[in-house]
Amino acid sequence: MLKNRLSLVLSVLVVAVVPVAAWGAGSSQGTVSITAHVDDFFEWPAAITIAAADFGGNFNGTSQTKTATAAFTCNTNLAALTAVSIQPAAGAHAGVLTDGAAHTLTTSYQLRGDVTVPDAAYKAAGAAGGEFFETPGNAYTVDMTATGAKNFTFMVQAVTPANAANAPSGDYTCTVTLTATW
Amino acid sequence: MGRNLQIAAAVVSVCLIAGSTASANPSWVGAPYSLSIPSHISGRGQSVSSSVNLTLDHDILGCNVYFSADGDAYLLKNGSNSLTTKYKLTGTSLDHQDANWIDADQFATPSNAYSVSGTGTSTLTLYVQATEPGAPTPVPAGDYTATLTVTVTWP
Repeated sequence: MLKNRLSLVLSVLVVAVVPVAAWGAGSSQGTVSITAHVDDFFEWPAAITIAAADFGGNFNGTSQTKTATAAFTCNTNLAALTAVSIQPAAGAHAGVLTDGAAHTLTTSYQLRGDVTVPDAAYKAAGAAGGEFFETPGNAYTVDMTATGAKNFTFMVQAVTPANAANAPSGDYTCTVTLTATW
Repeated sequence: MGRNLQIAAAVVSVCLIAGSTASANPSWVGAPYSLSIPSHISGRGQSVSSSVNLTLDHDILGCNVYFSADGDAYLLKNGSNSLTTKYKLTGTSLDHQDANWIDADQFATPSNAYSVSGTGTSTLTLYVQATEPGAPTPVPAGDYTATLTVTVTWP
């Protein structure tokens, strides 16, 4: 009789131990899935500046020709063989070196580097056929045989006018915009 | 016989009380969690970041939380390419909150555990920062994914 009582109590105690064990040390897990996205990009330098000093000295006479060059690198993650073109466009002062009183220097440009057909001669700062800002005629195809950095050389030529009265002293400025499309 | 039943009934009532309390083991509410960084990377060396809230329900004192991953799954990867990935964790119930970004491999390891004070519901905020690694070649466009396991342990 006593044995039966003990077995009943013990069997209930065994059942009781199972949930109580959950009080002991343990762990619980969850997962966190994270996604970031990278876009295609063709990254230009923050600014490409050609300063007066880059012309190797100031103009000091009529019909003088001086040139300046800016080398720069664009970084792209576009896949190799992606068709990429660069189109120049006139910015401030229509892309012609101009002073504050609208006097101008004869201005022309070249683009060389990682393009399939680099310029071999200067092209006038205009939008007519054969000129630097002709759209879309003067677009440059980027050499995309490999991805990564693309190196370019932007060249500008300025010529003072034959009449000194048309070229007063001072700074002559303009801007050009280069746009890559793919 | 009647006395036997009384003994059994008393023991069973203790068991039920213990069983109902034990059901409140710490758990992650709303898991699995997902975080898609809304801003895209569109340049070399560019960083984007975002965060997700993790809700811990715990009625036991002395809980610890840590993150881990399978291999280097803590890195945001797209095939063989990866972004520089950093994390930080904040939450008022933590014994310490991260003020600075922590490299992924230093963050997602059991040795980088956080103690959670008190009981109840704790909201932890997981921040992730993804950076285009830059040189020598920018990583290609696409989705970069990582998977972390967040674990709560209790004594």
